Amino acid sequence: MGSRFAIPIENGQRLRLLVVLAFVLSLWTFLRYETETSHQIVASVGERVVHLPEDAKAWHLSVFTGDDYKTTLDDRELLAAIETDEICRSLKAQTHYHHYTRGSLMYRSKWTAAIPETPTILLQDGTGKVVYKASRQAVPTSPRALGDQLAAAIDAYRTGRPFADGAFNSDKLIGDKIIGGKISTELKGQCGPGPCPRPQPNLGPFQPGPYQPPTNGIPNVTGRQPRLIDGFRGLWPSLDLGDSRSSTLVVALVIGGLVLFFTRTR
Amino acid sequence: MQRFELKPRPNQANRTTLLILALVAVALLSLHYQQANRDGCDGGVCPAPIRSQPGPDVRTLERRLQDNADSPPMDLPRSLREQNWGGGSCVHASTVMCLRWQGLEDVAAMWRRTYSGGESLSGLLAKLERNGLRYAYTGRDPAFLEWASRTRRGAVIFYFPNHSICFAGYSADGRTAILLDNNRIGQFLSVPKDEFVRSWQGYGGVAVTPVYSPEPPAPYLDQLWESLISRL
Repeated sequence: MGSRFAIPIENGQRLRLLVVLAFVLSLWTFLRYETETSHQIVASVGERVVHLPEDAKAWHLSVFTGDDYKTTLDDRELLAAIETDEICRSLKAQTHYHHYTRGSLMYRSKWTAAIPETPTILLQDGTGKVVYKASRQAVPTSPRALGDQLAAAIDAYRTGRPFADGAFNSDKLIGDKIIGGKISTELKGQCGPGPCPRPQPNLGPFQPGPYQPPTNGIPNVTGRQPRLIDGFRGLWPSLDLGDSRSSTLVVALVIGGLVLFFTRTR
Repeated sequence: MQRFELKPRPNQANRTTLLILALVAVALLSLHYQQANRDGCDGGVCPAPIRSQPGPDVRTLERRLQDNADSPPMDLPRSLREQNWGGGSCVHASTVMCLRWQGLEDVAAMWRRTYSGGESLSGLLAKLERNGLRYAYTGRDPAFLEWASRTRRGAVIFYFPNHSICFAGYSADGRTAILLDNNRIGQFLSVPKDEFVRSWQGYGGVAVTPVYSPEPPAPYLDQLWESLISRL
């Protein structure tokens, strides 16, 4: 029996198995990532809508950035979060999505009082009721945290319970300012009669995408796929493993543990 | 004997161990950074750095509970309304307003620069086709107007003699049609629904609209938010 479990030979087999597993794992994650990020939007031309979309109750997800959002870090991060986080992407697909820049006509005409700061993310139900809003420093620290907060806000909306689970902590509201008066969609005096001056668009030619009607009601954003590091969540509750620094720490600990295991004194 | 030939020498075993450790480390780091890329990086956009004080804020929002119900479904701000130009570009002015309302500001600007003069239904549809726009239209069906109002998209309609305006939807009680005339962009016009539908069909019953995302309703806070903020 002793020779059956001879360490060098068994270790060799174990190591070869680990090599295979490591490669399979790497290949799987690589292919999975590539598959998720390689969706291409195919432009359709002159699409006549035969079946009119019944999206009267669809929600609205709006992102407000500066005009130079392509070079401003905060703006790029928020836009990237919308495009990359699982929940954010799902929410975007199920809602009317709007991206306003400070120079856009609609922002200057309607949103300057309600959204004076950028970047801002705003989620509204079909009637305009605010489900979630975060601006500048209040925007969550990571795409995953943003997705989780949006999901929590939708859950609070759906269940009708008070925002007592941390997703809407009143402490987080301190420091912001209240703008008086009512929102007016009327002329604010920025543009006189005739077309308003505006920066030249730099977004390239207009390319409509295939029509995907939004969800007509509360979006369903549940079902985030667990990540590898999510398995550690229960072990250290105070550690936010959705945070990149924390997940880096976990990876380092795992690697360190493996090194200690394989280099231990025999 | 053959079995023991497979036994590595101690140094060889150490090298193999280190090699395997390196591969495992690469695999784990690959997994980690691919996840980080998916979370925060795409096309050269870098992941979000850590910022302080995460969490939502609502104190900059106005309080508007009832106003939305009193507003036209297509509540285009005054500064985005397009005055008829060139002495007879009413169809294009109405189209520009519908495009702006549905978030196509660049297309609307192009439309404003490119087209002018009188226009027919077939000509309008051809231009929508030419520009690759998604649209819907009807020839006399009032249900189309109901849909355009319900989904807050509005529509370009032929209304008044030899004229075209924007249909901004029906009032909340459903008894009044709200219209936006490009010859009188200072205010919305109200017409009793029955009278409006009858007249609209008499003018040909034409309604056309792009099919994109309409502007969101003005944001408002519900009672819970109000009470929450009032305590601060």
